[in-house]
Amino acid sequence: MKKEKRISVLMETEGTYPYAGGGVSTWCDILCKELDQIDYYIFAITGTPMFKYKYLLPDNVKRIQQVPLWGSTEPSEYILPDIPFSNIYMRKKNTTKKIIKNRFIPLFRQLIKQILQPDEQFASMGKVFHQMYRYFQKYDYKETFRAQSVWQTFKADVFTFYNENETEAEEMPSAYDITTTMRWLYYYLMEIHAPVPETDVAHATIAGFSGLMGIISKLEYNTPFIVTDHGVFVRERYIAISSSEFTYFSKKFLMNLSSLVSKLCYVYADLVAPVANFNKRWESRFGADVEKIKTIYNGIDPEVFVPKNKPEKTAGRPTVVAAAHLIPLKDIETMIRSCKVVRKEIPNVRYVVYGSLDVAPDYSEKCSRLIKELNVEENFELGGFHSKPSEIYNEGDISALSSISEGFPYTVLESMSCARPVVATDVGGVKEALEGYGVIVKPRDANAFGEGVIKLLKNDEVRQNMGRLAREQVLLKFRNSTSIDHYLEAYQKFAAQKRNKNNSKSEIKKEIKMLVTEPKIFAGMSA
Amino acid sequence: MKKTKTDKSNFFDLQLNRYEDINPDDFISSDEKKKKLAAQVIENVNNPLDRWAVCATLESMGMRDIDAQKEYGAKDLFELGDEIYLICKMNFLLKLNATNDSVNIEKIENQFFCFVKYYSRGLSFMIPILGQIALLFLLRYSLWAYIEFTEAQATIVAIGTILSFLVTGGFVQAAGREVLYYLNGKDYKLAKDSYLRLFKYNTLVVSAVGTFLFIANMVFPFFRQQMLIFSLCYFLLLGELWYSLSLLYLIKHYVVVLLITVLGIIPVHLIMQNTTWGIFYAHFAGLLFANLLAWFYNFIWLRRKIKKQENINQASIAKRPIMAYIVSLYFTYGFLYFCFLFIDRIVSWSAYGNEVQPYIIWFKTPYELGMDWALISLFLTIALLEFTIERFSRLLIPVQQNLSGLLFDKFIKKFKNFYRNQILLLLVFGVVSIVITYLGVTYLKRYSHVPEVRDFFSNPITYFTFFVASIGYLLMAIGLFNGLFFLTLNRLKFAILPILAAVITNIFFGILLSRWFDYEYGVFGLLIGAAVFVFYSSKKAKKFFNKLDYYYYSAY
Repeated sequence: MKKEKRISVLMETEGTYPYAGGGVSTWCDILCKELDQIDYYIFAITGTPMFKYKYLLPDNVKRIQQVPLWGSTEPSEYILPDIPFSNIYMRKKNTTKKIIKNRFIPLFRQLIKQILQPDEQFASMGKVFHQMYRYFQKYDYKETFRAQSVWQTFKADVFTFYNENETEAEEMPSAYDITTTMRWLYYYLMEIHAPVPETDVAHATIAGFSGLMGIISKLEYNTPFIVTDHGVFVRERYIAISSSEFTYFSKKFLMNLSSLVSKLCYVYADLVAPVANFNKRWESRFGADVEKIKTIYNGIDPEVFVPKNKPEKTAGRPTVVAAAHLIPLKDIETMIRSCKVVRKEIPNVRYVVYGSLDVAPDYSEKCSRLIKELNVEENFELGGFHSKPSEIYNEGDISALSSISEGFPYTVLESMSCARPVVATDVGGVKEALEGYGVIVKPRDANAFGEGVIKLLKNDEVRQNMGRLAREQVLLKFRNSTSIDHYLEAYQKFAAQKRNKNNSKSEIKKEIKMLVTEPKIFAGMSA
Repeated sequence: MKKTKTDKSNFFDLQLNRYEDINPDDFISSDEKKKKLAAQVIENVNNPLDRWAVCATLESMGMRDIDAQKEYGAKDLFELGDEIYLICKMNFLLKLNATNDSVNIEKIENQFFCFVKYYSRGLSFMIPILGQIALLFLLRYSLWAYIEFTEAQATIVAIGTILSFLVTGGFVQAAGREVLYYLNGKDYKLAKDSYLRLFKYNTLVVSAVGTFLFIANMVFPFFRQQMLIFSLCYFLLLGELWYSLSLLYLIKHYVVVLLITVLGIIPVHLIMQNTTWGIFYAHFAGLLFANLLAWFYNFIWLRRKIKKQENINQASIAKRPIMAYIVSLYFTYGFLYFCFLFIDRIVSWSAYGNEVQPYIIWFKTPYELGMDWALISLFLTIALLEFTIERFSRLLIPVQQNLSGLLFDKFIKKFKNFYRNQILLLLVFGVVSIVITYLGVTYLKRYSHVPEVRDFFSNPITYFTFFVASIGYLLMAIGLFNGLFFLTLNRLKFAILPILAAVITNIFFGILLSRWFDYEYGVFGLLIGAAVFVFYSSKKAKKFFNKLDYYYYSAY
């Protein structure tokens, strides 16, 4: 019996798996490990070249293609590792002024126009990126972007735009803005000169830059394209870029580029699979067809996160645990303030936050200062990184999540699975998991947060009931296997679609070939 | 402030016409809560990019659909976001008449301190040489020189020294690119790896050239074999020393350079005082000791830095062919630079004139003294380049930040003026340096009772060489001045072509004139070569500054 060909998936990550930890990476790791019948080809965009995997890669991860955006003088070193440098050198030599002018600049101008003045025609940019991709399979990326004609074109197009569209002086670009943004284009688009392997399905873990590879794969090989949104890329970019120190023009340029890429991901996706319904609000407004959006909730392994009694070290003391890196997005400050509120009612309350203090050292420092300032040193502990997440929740009576932005956080599910109700802020998909099984409060409201904690800590019966129900809910709805099955189903469906299409195409090709190579039969038939 | 309506779509969804039609007074009576919220948004993001930016910011502030409905009466957060965006834009427009912040470009008084700091740093390159001169006066020998050298001995050392500069110069320049790249990124492990890789190649090439010369001399005996072996020993030890010291220059530990080159004299002194081995073996021991000291220091320094480094990058340095591609032009520039600096000596020392000389290359003391004398003026002049390039690098970004992106012409004009001013300063410095060097050295004439001083001033060829070479060196400084701009913005070919033309001219005219007239006329090769260097590099500089915006952009 003919052995069925394994399904292959191009998984596109950005700053996450397999080089960095965190929720999205955990999700990727679970998917790769659980779906061992799928062959994964990882396309990982990183900030600088990375060499150490955070995860032990299973055998079905067949290849990792890294694209570091910064930190490499010659990008081909990492992006085209299989091509001998002699070939790259020839590519450089072949990238002549004429080639750049005739083949690249027309595409480049379309891109610039769309960034400066986004319009409804943005969907056509997918094809522009695809043509750029094809161009870069023959010609050198760096030589092209460094060409004088490319720079002149950029400058001239910005100039023309401002001559035609009067705007506020404050919002005009400075000379430095022009240089900076042009360099950003060079760095952010670096991935499009990486060769895309042909797979059955392309799966982007974010509707961001890494998704461009999914779009290219779709246009190059008809590969169905899935986008999973954990957080909403475009929303998170708005938050980060808006509050950055860049000038208005630079921010706007970068945001428009990010927004364009995100919109393209949604438009080209065959399936947009947010991890929470909450994300749909943004996805639909940024071009995703509502019909194509299907939420696939994250899941966890309830056999790993099992309820246990509190250990000796926390027994007898009301304890609130949290698993969160110390970063501004987690708003640990509100949690610290809530501790002061709780202490008034429960003087021996103890909060422990387990999470790396090194991700944003300044913020960690700020939190430490606040703990001292509020005089809650006896009640609030920054516990640092904990290597066994499954033990964190059982240390406490309840757990806490004070984030100002989330997708569908694992910590909530893990705590629920350990029968520990959660006091959480109403962000992202938290409500979808927790409603009825914990206390949900408005973000940044330390009093409400504190009151939620008091309510659960003071009322044993409510707390225990909620915990039990929370675990039941996880067993019913948020099992790992349920989530995995949804992805497997999607992979199988889209892979079959692609293979059927290809089969019918090759059938037609075969017939044509037969007609051409066997004229006698044709002649006989006709006779 | 200018603002006009336009029929076309406005920049980046800004929809100016929407808020232009709104009377600011309307907002005075509008919901105070919304105004307060808008103020919070502005506090977070200043001038919001568009409505989506406001919605995202509101969400990050904890706002939800339910809050938008209950507290602000909006349908949802997105509708509230639209309203808040308009309020923010109004506030922004009203605020615009206020200050026009410009990026602070360094004040004049800071320029003076900057000049003192960087000119001194430029001069610090001279410190080890001054140390060697001081040793020569004190002990009669230094790490690789000796007052009592015969011309034969001097020939041996000169050949070794020049070879070491020619071969290692390229590697030193390559390290200046590759190792410095990692040092600037505080990636000390990779800095160490690339430093060691280039060390290996330097040692290989030095050994290969040495072996080749050794075998070639066996087949075509230009020199006595033993004489060549001594030269090759100098070549090897000095070549390794230049490379080891290059790291110290990169990390700016100039005092350590001085210390190492001065401490290296200890074995020389011990051997000269206590044995009859002679100056060559004493020098070899001294150079070996200096090499070990430099290696030890470099090793300890790198190890400490790597230990302190928090996140050690697991990356490896660039693959060999890629590294070769990246540094090849730097290598070429370094090689050509030292070629230009020394080739006139080879040309002149190989000119026979009317006298028969023992070997094909024969050290000529008056010529060398004149060249060394002129070299002092070069050092005083090129120290200024450190200041110029620092100033250039510092101005590039703030000047662009203060200029509209539509006015790149002004940017170019500003830097053309900068270039002109700096070149004038360089010319003044160059002339003053020549005068100071001349007067400073001729001041020693009053010590004519000292035989060495008397000998120094006894030959008119020394004066002749000094004057021609000083002018040549001044021109060369201008060529290097141009080249430094090109190197700063990674335009190596601009720097290489002029210096290549200069080397060829130097050799051509040097050979011609030293053979037509007398050997000392070889110095005109340097002068004419330097003139070509100035002419060609200035042409390149004109092109460079005319398109400075492009060269700045593409410097990655």
